Amino acid sequence: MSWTELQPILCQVGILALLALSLNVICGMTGLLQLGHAGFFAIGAYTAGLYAIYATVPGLGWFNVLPAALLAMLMAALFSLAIGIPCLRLAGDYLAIATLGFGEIVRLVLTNVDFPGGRMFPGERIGGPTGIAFTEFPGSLWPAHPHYSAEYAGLGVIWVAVILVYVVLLNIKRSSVGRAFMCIREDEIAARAMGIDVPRYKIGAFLLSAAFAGLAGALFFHQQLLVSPSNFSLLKSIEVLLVVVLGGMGSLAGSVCAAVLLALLPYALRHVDLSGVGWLPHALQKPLSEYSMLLYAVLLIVLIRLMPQGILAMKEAPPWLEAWFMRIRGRAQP
Amino acid sequence: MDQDLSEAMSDLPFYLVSGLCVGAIYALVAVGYTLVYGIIKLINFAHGEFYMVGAYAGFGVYCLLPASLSPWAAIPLMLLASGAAGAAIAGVTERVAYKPIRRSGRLAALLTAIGVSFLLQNTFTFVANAQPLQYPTGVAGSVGEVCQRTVRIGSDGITVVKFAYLGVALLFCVVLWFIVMRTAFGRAMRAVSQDADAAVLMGVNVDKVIRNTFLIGGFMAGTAGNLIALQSVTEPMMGFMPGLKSFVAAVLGGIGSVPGAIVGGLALGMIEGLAVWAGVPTGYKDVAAFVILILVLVIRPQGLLGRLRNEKV
Repeated sequence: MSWTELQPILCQVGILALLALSLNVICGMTGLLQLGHAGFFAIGAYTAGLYAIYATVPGLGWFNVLPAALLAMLMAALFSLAIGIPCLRLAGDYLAIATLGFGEIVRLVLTNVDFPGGRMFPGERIGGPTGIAFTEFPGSLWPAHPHYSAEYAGLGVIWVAVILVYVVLLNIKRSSVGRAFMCIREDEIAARAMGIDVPRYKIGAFLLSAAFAGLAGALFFHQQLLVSPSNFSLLKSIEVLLVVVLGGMGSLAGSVCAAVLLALLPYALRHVDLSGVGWLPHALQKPLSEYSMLLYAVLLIVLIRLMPQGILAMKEAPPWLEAWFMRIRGRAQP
Repeated sequence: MDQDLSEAMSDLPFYLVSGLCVGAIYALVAVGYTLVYGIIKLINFAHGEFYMVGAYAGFGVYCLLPASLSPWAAIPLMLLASGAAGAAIAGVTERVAYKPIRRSGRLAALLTAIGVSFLLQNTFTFVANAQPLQYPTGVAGSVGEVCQRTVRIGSDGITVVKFAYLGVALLFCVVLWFIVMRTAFGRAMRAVSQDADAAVLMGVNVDKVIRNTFLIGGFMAGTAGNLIALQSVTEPMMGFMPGLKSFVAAVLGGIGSVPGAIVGGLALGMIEGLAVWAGVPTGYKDVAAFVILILVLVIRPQGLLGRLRNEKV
């Protein structure tokens, strides 16, 4: 596999890792099941798309990604407040369903609205089921800015974002705020008894999670230059949830590792082909890559049953690696 | 203006009746959600897929039956088969996926339910190639043609088969009422739903109660799936939206309450009908259900007919 082939895949891995990191704040650390993560991802992506259409500053070059990403985070955070303040009163399953409803509302609304084309697509309406596609109208790209390209959020930008978000969240996890989140997950009533303002911390976790999902959305738009509502279905929320469960609820490093594993799985399997295998029933004779959805579903069920802790449980590193670190440290400071 | 109004009013019965008919389907599916939730506190995400499996089973039986058979004999056979298939897949799901993790907490159960739902959807997409199946309407007097016949209500035609939704829903409601309120099994079911631990001490076989609850819910969902497929299409993703909306209906009526699920289903169907009548663009019709969901959860989480239970420490 050549580098040019690998690059877009690694970009997608990075975006999946960002989504998983952000979902981990609310699902893993705080223990609230969120099934509408794709909604915040969509809000981020569309905000970045609309910024690119209406407000790109030509002189800024790829730095345009920064204001777009900030706006995307802001919008996602605003929406998370609007949905979080009423919904976070709900317990367990009900919250999951309410957020699922939110995710579906976002997707359905995005399928049905359209926006004026602005300077980039004069006279056109954009949005609706086709979404925002810079690639479909090559002639109508904003003339003053002919090189609006996918290189704006390339591999480097995305993985720098992953590392930044990881470091920020790791510091939060190890601070008193993170401990409050985890205390809420373990026992809400005990948390309240310890003086933790539960609603405030829940909304804080929700907001943090949504803002980083918005960031992932902005980078996703800049990497693809093509977003449509079908990118943000419930399937996406479930995929991210699967990554978080596989990595271990509450383990940030686990989320990143699981995102890499899960996103590379289809590519690792792409040369395996069952279409010539005679003893299989006709319906099953397909290249293995078509099995990937099926594999995801089976993986989710089997994981919950056999490995409910995920690959890293709540830790940031496997025990042997931690022990090794401790030994090195011990040797460095006698 | 007056004419517009009278025109709109003459449209109203059509939208109300067709909303009521669709609502009956929501009610049939919602009862399954509410029964399962009442007993093991699990939102069975895979319930919409039982509906889809039922529709496929009905189509399979249709293909096996001789073409000369009168639709009046064929349709009940298909409905029975779809119900049986729905019950079978519900039973298998409960045994294979839910039973082993019953003690692992509600999050694990919910995630497993989502996994099962995706597994069933993708298995059928995989095997059936996602090709929508439709009952052929070419021959007069065939199942497909009979199910496309319409009757005029108000200003528009409504397919006759939609009235069967109401009939079947009514029949199932009566049977269900009898089972829950008048049989020993029903008493066991109510006992488990009130307090599972106490029910075990009273000698109730909880495993059996849970299994039979899944069978009943699966039967109703399977039948509902085939009823819809009769005048629409059968495809792997068909259970997703109706499943979600029926869940909304169950929440609207008060989850855990059987009369609530029926009222909620009918109400949701009528609300959707009214929304279309009132000029809400059809693309936003599905949004209405989710807006209702969030409003109900926020304003009255116990639903229309449910009772609020305090969380105990």
